[in-house]
Amino acid sequence: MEDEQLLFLSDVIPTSYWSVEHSGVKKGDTVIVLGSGPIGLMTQKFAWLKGATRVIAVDQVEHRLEHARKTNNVETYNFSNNEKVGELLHEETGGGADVVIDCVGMDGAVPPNTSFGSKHNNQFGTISPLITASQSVRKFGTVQVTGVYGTEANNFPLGDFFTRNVSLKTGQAPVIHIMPKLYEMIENKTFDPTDIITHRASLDDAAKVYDIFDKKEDGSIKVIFKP
Amino acid sequence: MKAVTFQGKKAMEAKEVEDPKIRENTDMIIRITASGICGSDLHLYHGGIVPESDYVVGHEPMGIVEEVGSGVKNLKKGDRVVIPFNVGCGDCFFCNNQMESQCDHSNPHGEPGSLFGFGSDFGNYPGGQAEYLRVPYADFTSFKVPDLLKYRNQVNWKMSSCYSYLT
Repeated sequence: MEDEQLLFLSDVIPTSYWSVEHSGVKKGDTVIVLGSGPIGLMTQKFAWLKGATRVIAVDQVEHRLEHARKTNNVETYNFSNNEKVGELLHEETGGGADVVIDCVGMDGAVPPNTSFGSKHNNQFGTISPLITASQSVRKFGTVQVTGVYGTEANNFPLGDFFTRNVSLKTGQAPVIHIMPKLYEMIENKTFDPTDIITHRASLDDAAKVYDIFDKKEDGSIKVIFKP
Repeated sequence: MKAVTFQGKKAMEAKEVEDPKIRENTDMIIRITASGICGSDLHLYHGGIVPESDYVVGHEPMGIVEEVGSGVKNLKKGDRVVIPFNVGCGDCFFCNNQMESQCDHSNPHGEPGSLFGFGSDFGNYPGGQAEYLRVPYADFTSFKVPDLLKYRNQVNWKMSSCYSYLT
């Protein structure tokens, strides 16, 4: 097998697989995946494989949503056109999804009219994906946080989780023990791990490709180096 | 070797740095053939995590084993491996119970488990966007890509010996 088929066993594939497993997605579930970057796109594939009957992708980068529709046949919502996307998803799913998986983390886009971080400098980035998740999950549903939050979170809506009996599961995926199983799935062509690759670069191009990847320019989804 | 290094906020640059060396006998050195940029590398890029200057970043590498320490049992020079972003000792409660992202031994700087390429809070292991990488706890912190050709040849050989036996 080629490097490109195997490389994402290092992180993207097992992190996505574990997110779906850890969140307890089961046959017939509606799953909302926040963020349609590499982890979000791979998570959409594993949600289908786990038996979800509805998979919904949310992002604000149109080419990534387009990729999600094309490769994973999911419904998509662009939240840049929809300030109240959490409430909209709650309505569109008839009371919320069984599982919402946050594949964004603290680097998410800051909504208009919201301050970035806090004046106390204790929060890095935004928790807007967690707010959207709390609004779009059903009562007794589960929010799985896979995107990274490394600091305190100001105005975290704990009450919204408690009063609606929502479970919150989080953390870095333990990936080592699931690599062999996922290798077999790649070998058996259960899913295609390569369709997220948009850019291949040499180490010398680091400054340039980090800039492209950061700004999500040039149709970028996943950049890999070939040293 | 050449590596992608942290040079400050929004400054990741390719630079010549010292080659990694075996430090513990359970380490290995791999020559990297492919290595991803991850959204979480942008936490360093945006200044959310600040490693020292010239720190080598990246945590999605794969490659070919170049050298193994004397305590490495299951790998040898030339093996093809994918390296997970978790660094796990393979010998603590968490590693033994499929929770290796919270390994108890690999991070001397805090309670959370270790990660390649995330600075001192996560074990201070240099990352994989480079030509070479030191992999600690090599037997556990790797996936050896099965040698399919060899495997198939063995199966064929066994089948042909069965066939000879039957005839």
